[in-house]
Amino acid sequence: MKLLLIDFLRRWWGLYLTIFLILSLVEAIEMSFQPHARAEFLVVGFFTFPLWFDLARGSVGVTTTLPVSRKTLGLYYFVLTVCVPVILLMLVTAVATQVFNAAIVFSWTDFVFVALGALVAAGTYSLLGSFRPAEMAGFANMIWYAALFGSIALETSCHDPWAWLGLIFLGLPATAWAFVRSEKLIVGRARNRPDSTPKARKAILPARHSAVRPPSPIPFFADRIRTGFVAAVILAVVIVFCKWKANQNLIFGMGMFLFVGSFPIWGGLRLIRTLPLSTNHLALWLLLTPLCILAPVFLVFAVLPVFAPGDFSPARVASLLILAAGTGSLPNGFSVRFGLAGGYASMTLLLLSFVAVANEVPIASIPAIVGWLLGLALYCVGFFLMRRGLCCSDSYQARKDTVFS
Amino acid sequence: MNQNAVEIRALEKHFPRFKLGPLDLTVPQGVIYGLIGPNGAGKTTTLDLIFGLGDPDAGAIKVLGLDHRRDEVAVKRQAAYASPDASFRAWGTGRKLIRFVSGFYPAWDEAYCEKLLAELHVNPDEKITALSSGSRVKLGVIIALAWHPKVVVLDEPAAGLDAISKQQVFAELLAAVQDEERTVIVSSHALTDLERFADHIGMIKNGQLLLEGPTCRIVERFKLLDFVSEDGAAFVSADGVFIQRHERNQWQAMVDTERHTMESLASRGARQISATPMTLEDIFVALGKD
Repeated sequence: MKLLLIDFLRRWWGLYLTIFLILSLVEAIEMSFQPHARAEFLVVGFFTFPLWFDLARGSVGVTTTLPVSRKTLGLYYFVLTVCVPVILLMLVTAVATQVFNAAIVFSWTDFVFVALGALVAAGTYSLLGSFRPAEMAGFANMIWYAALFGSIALETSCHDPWAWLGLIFLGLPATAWAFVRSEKLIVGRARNRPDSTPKARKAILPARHSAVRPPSPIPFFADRIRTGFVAAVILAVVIVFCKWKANQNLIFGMGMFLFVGSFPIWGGLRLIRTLPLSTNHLALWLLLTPLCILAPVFLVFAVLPVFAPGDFSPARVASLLILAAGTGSLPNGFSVRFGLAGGYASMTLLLLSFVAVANEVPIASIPAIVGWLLGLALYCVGFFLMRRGLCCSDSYQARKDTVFS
Repeated sequence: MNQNAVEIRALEKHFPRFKLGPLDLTVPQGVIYGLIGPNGAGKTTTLDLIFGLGDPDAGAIKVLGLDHRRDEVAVKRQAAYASPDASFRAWGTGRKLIRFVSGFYPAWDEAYCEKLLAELHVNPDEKITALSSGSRVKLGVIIALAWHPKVVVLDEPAAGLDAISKQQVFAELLAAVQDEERTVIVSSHALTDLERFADHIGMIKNGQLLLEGPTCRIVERFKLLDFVSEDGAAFVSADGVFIQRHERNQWQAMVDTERHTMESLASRGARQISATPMTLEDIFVALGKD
């Protein structure tokens, strides 16, 4: 396992360092505006990105053939998905509080809570990541989002005894289960096969189309909307369960995360590129994807005022929707040209930028019309990127990234 | 030292729409064993299970007398696996990948590895993403051979290779078997090459072993017969007779000579029988048809 870990860190230390520095800086800036320490469990997920990139590149296809037991491999991936991210997050928190904001009191209780929260969040991600890619592309992917949102919800209730109980009785078993299932992650991905291909094909390819009639986009979009609805329902449950008082910045942040839901089509781009569709037509399909996923989620928030009056107006929700979807079209566009890595890298940058400015510029303070215009402008940029990417020969190359979807 | 390289007994693996087995397979030591079958027959699943990539639902697999699950690491210390599905992109270049993998095998032969790289025209310093798909397959084969494993399991080593590269890869496998008594298990659709290089053939169809044995015996066993008969029904239903085509009373059929002789066919009303030898590919096509 030592050789595996050393090799992994040698290949990915640059990305770890980059994430560490950016997060430290962002956390430090954020905390300087806060009177008390924060517990950002959400960001622990960023430290799992190197592993997901590595898996997307099919490394497990090589490591499983080495003279190392599956148990050891499972432990290796558990260390990388849970232990390393938690340690790095604690370092980030330490740097952000002790170095940049020494005035902030960060008690041992806070420290333990952050560590526990990070462990549970990372464990939950690891657990969900251990499901087969086909499952990840569907329902489990949505649970992943829910876990992510749940961790945001917990962030707002550090000193709530219910949060402690939730972490201990729900989170820790999930983490333990992740440890047990880590071996499955290896087996599930060992063959590095696009397991989701039949589903993706079913969703992407229209059931019936003749040579003269262009393929109908309805099944394609219906699948995305269905995905969004599942996410929305789970999200609503999480919000109610956590008694979380939503704020619009966080909602926008969640919307950004939902763009992951459009990732499966990136892996299948080569397939849909063969359909009798013009480049413009195809670019439009891809462009509308984030909107299809986001619409049901934001619908939940549109309905929320009925239960919690005064939280949001439908116009505000619509402007948030268009803004978040417009932002989401950028990583989508990059992914077409640069593959999954390009998509994830640009999404990470966007998210970090968002985290950096969100507390300083509450989205609520942006007039709805500005949200609309900005969202539409981003959409145009996204469309341009998408079209450029589709015209580029690279988008025709077979990508094994599908396993990540 | 007469133990078999791989022994599979009553192996079963269930998928929602496919069932592999019960499968019995025996791979003797020191041979090139070709595993053939139509797409989706279960070849890759079998190879994956041999190598512990997935758990069988029933049955036992022994590699060099070792249980593939209980002695997992010991098996992997003696057996190499190369699959076209493996992606090496995470390591950037072939050189880095080789450096990583070589650390796990004390028997890694640097000189042999360099020789293979040169012979198969793979530039290890080039980015993996810049390599052609054929070169990536060759890189996988090189990594599997470079540490002199006793058993080499290769899934589709000819996928994406041009005719020259295919010959080179199979020649290397042959050299490995002849010089070092290694066992090579190859799943491939390059049937012409397999017929030339493989000592044993196992054919799988719909998750079941259809036939197994030395290549020359299999090729000799099946003959393409042209004959005249007024009553075709006697042959259509016969076991071991695979009708290829017929026009009025002219018939052409692949016949399993272990079950039917010319005389037995003549006794069923066949006249003017002429026999033609078949290639492995012909046999595969005839048996693979539903």
